[in-house]
Parts: sequence; C-alpha cells; structure tokens
Amino acid sequence: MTKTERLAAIFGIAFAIAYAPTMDFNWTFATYHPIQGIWQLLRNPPLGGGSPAMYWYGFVITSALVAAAVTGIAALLPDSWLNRIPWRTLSWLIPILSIVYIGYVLLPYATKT
Amino acid sequence: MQVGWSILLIIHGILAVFLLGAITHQAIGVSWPVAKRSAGFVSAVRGVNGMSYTNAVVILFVTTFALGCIIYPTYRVNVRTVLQELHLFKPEGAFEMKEHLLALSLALLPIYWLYWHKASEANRGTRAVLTSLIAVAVWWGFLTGHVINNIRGFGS
Repeated sequence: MTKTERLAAIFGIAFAIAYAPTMDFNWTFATYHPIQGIWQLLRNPPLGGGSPAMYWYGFVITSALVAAAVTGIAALLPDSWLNRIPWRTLSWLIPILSIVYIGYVLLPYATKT
Repeated sequence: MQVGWSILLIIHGILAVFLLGAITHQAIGVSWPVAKRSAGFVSAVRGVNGMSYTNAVVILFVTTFALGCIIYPTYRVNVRTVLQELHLFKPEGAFEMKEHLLALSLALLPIYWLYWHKASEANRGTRAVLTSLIAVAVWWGFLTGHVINNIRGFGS
C-alpha cells in the first residue's frame, strides 16, 4: 500500500468516524436558512416565519475538516507506525459501521406513525 | 423559477441514471468476475473491465452530488414540509438516509479511485466491497429520489 493510498484510506475512515456522531449530536459547522438565503456559523435555530434550518451541509463540512486534520497528522507520522494498521480492511469496515450507527439513529422514522 | 428547479432536478436524475449504470456494471464485474467469457447478457455484464468506468463514476458522482446540493434547499422548503404534514415519515427517513449514505460515499471516492487506478488481485476484495458500498448508496439515493418525486415532484 502506497503512502497516498494509506492517506486516502485514512481520510475516508476519519470522515466516517466523524460523520455519524456529527449528524447524531448536530455538531454542524454551519446552518443554512433556505428561505432567507442566510448562512450562519455553527448550529442555529430556524429564523422563524416557517423557515427551516438546514444542518446537513454543515455535517459534511465538519466531517471533512476533521478528516483533513486527521489525514494531515497521519502524513507526519512515520510509515513504520502506520504500516501496522490494516487500512485496506478499515477503509470499508468503518464506513459500514458508521452506516449502521446512522441507521440506528434514523430508526424512529421507520417506526413512528 | 420553478421551471429552472425542475430542469435541474431532471438533469440530476439523468446523471444519476448514468452513474447507476456505470457503478452497477463495475460492482458486478469486480464482485462476481467471469472466469471464462461466454456469450450472453449476464456474462457480458460480469466480464466488463471495471477500470474503464472509474473516472466516469467519480465525475458523475461529484456532478450529481453537486447538483443535489444545489436543489436540496428547494426539497427542504417545498417537499419535506409536506411529507411531515402528511405523516409520511418513512420516505422522509429514507431521504435522510440518502443524504448520509452519499456524504459517506463522497469521502470514499479518493480511496476508491486509487484502488481502481492501481487495480490488482491483492486489492480486489477491497475494491469489490468499496464499489458495492458506493453502488448501494447510489441505488438508495436514486430509488428514494424517485419515490419522493412521485409523492411531490417540483412544480406539483
């Protein structure tokens, strides 16, 4: 596995690890108010007047920033440390576990009437 | 303005169809490779050269995702509120899942591209799972979008 492949795997893994709790606990980087067309930093309530607040863009940004930071730190670590970790397996296993977590969080949608 | 959003939604849907075709071929080809090429549709699908789909999948995914991001506020204002009023929680939840599956898939594109760029027997298992994972996300997104559009398409 080349260094580039390892860092790409780390980015995907870190994104998946960060994303599930980010959407669960609403650690959004930004809030978008679609009716007013206004962006606000971090989590903010709807502005009123029936306008929803959109957090999903912020989830993606939060997770991407975390993943980029983790990947940047990993790039500085010696290869001998990173070679011990099965990145190839983790690159699909962690996203699947993240999907299971997200599915569990969204389960009420399937059960409420 | 409504016409413009509808045009964007239709382009989003057409690109999703192209993406579905490409990623499904690739996922089947790598997960269920054909040992000996023979005549027939199934053999032809299993025998595709997955590497030739990689760049197209990445470009189509990013473009479709970007268009989805642009039309998403219109869904949030005009469609999701109706789903909630009608207590259509399952389609609403399916759309929530779609957002998350596709965000996770977007982050997997770099490693997906690298593995396919240097495809080997050693990384075939990983390529098969990653490609199938992205294929499932794309199928989920497409079917959910289709159902939501049936419930309340733009302009309805």
